[in-house]
Amino acid sequence: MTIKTGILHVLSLLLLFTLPLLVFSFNAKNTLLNPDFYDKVLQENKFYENLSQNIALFFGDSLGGDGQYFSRAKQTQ
Amino acid sequence: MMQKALPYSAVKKQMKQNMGNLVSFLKGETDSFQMQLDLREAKTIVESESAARLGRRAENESVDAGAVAHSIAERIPDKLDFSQGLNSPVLMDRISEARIFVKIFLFAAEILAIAVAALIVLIIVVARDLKLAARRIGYPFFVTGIFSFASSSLLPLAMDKALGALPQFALGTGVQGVAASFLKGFLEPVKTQALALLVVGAVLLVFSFLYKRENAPEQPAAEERKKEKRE
Repeated sequence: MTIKTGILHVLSLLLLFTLPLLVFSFNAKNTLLNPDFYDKVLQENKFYENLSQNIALFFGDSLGGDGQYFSRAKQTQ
Repeated sequence: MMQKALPYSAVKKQMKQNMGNLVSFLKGETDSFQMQLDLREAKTIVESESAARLGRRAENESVDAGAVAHSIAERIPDKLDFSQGLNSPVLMDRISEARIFVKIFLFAAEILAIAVAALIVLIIVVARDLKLAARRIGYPFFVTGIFSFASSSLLPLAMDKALGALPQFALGTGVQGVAASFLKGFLEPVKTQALALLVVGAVLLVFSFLYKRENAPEQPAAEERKKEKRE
């Protein structure tokens, strides 16, 4: 084995170890640090729908149901 | 009524903006972040909707529908501030730690990209031969492609199995679903990139085996065989 082949072996091995790291770091950068990724995951799991419903329920309760509007109107007057 | 006033699309738009704020903060692009839902528009809708519903009956009983509708809408705050929940020192410490980690990660990722480019150039320079360089670069590309493709295909299966083995009360179905789609979303692009690496690696390897050097000296054994044939 000549020095040249030895160096090429080492360089090739280094490339072999760094390439997978590059692939995963590139993906981590493009997914974990990308708001669109979280948006997609949350949408798939119906997070927005649930949040919207929960907020509506919370304030809906505090406002009172449809039947209570008029009684509240009387109280206010 | 509130659900009509604050539809799913409005929540989605604002939450996406909030996540953008958090990510920008973690990346170090901003020095602070806000996570809030603006409810002002919803308040206006609730007020007009309440006034409309109260309308006729209020007229009959001489009640001021507008004033009542206003008092109803006033019970809704202008905004829901989620940042208040993050104000605890322990949580802020964790977020600051995450910010430092993200900074180091982004720096390391850049160094890694430069290192890989430098290694490829070095291999080409040292090899000084297309055939040799193609083989030395093709082999790591091909192996990385196989490794990345296998891991991105097997990890979700292993995760599903691990989550499935847990008792049902250990994780809510919501958490299980989020974890699965999180991993799937993360690994889906890896699969495509792995395939690209695999193809590039295979092409380089095939090229290195088929390519014939223009000025390559003929092998002595081959020459001898030719001589034998002539004789």
